[in-house]
Amino acid sequence: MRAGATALLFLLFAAASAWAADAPDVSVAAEVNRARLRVGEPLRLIVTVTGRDAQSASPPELPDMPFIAESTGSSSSFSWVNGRTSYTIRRDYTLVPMKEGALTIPPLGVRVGDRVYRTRPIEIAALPPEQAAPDAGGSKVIERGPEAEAARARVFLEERVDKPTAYVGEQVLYISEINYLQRFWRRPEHAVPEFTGFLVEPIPDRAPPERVKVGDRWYMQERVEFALFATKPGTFAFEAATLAWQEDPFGGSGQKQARGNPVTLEILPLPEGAPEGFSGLVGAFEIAASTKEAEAEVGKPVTVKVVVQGEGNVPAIREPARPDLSAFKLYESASSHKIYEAPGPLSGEKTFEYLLVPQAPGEAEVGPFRLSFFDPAAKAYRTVETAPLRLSVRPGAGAASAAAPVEGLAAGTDVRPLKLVGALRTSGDRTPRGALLWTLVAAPWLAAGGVLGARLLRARVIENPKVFSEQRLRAKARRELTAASKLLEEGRREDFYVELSRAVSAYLAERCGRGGASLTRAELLALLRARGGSDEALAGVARLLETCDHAKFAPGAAGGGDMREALALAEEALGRW
Amino acid sequence: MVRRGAILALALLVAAASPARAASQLAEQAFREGNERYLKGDYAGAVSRYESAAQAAPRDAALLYNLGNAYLKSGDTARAIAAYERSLLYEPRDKDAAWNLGYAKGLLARRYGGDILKQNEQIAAAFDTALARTTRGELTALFLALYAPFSALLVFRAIRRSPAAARAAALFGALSLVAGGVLAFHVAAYDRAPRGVLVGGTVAIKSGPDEGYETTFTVHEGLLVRVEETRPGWSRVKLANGLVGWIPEASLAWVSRGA
Repeated sequence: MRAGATALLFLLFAAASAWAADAPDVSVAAEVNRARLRVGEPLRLIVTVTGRDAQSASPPELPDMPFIAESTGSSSSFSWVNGRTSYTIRRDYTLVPMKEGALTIPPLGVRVGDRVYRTRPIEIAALPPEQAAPDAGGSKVIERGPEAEAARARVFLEERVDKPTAYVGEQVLYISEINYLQRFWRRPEHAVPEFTGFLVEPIPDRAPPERVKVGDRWYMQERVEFALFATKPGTFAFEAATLAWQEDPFGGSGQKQARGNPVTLEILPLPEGAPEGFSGLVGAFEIAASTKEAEAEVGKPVTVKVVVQGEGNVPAIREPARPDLSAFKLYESASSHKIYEAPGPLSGEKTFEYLLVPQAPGEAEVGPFRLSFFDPAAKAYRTVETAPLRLSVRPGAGAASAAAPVEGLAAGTDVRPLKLVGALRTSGDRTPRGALLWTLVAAPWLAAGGVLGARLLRARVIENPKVFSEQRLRAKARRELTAASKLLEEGRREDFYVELSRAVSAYLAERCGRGGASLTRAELLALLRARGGSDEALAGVARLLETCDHAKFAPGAAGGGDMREALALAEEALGRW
Repeated sequence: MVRRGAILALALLVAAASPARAASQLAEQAFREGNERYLKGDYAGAVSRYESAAQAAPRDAALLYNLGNAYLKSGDTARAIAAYERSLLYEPRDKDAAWNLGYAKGLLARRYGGDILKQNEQIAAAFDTALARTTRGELTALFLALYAPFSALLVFRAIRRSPAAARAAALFGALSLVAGGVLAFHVAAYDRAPRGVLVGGTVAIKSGPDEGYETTFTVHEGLLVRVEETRPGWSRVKLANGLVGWIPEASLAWVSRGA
């Protein structure tokens, strides 16, 4: 009884283990960016599928729910840790509650293989439209004044800049708002004017469409923003942006177009008195330097990062002025930038990395790195600098091994020098390949085969002439039979029998050692009997020779069937004797 | 009559050889100009001249090595890696090229962070074998060096019945069989496998040959990949860990287009 229970437990455990090993490695989660909002306001729902098998996950099945739901995109990423790959698939949806009250986003099912994984239900509090929205960070409903009443079109554009006047190089936000009552069948084509005289940086999409009220109508509003940086002073007038779209999915009603409004911008020159090293950067910036290593060693590289962070044309930030770095060997520097995903003007950071190799032991200082820019808020030039980094440098152990340049760029090393060779190798690859290689491979086998063949031939012709002559005799007789069979096909009856009789008689006479002699049928049969031929074999030969003689001397007596029988008897005689 | 024919044949030979010789001279001139520009610090100019020379001498290891140096100095580290990989195809044990390749990878490591490099290195490890650092020509030479005595012994054995010759033939036959197998594997795995290096910063690997397809994953430049398929403007690449996706043509610097 006890043994039976143990066996049952073992089987259950084995089955569970097998099931677990077979089960997809996936987890599914859903989250929203806000849990309280007003009817008509959008919220963002993010469904994330993570795990080894996430790639094969189906999109979530959206059940009936009191929201207008629309997919706004998906993204995927993977991580590769300790040889295992894990994927993350993210799907974004915009949900708009259709009624007030306590609403629930029900569990969403994601199918992976044969299994369906479900998210947890999410509670949403939808307030009536007239109540104030408690979430400060959520999207806002904008009440438009009577002046917008005129905008009765189903789709209309509005353009503006965030400031009417700016300095050369100062960031100006150009905003184009696309307002629409119904969703488009296809992505409309939105064209902004050419910003001649400006450097342009598109602002990444940061927010889902908002709902705005114009008069008594609710529109969806999408914003397209560009950060503009003027390269010269003057008055600039931008033409109106346009939006083109199809009214129906098949384009039957043609393409519609809406135009926005022109925008004017005044650009002022930068004031006099720019400091030395000023590169034209305008905005508000901070600078900081850091290194992971407080101690260093002669010959061992140290990485110093200088980060410039702030608001302005971040991608165009030039390298800050370097301090005296004579105590180090400076290797190549690299830079990268990152744009922050914060609402409003373009902001971000640019990082400059320096690889420094200390050349002598002792205390060393890195810094300050200096950056000059014009601050439009203060209407003044400013210079910011990093605090000096102090390094304690120990004596080094010498040059690093040449075998591991990836691990660290060693002291006194750089890119190895050019190869100043004489003549270039312009000819093709002379390595034997293809037919040539196969010929080289086959050649010895052919040679060995040839040698063996020659030896065999020699054995047959010289060492064993009897065997060779028998084979030659049989081959000759077969050729004659073939000739006779052609005569049969041509219907030349007499010639056929003459050829057949001659071939068989000559062959059999040779086999009896009487080649060249003229033998009668009886003499030939006697010789064959003397060679030990059976009665049946002798009868076959006799019948064949008789048929031939009869046909030769009594034409028209035998038909085609007899000729074939005679040919068969001749072949049998060749095989038997 | 015979003399006139000989002169004509000689003229035809010279005419046939002239275009090749002219291309070779132009390549050498471009190579020298590239060296001069490099030494003057005009790395972009050096890249241009070396690329021009590489049109006529695509298998010259020294030229490809110098091209890698010029790319490295001009800041295009990923294309430098591709050039060094190409150079190592023809001179697989060139210590200078191996060093500079490591140096370039080190620069990328510092640019993108050690973790990214580690990941790229792990992915690339499957390509970076001792066999990959051997040329097809060397393996063919090894195979023929073993096969030649086997052939001679085979013929000798066919002429004279010698047990010693038979044993020696069996030994060389077995060795040449192994060498032939290695050669066949090398041809299939490396020579006929088109390879390239990802260039252009962070490369988004798409699920299909169009920008509209979903980004399956992203990797950083400098990674050696196998090219499984090409279509106009797009290439389907396979990483050493088995991940497959599409990249724009501009994101790939060819190392080998396959035999």
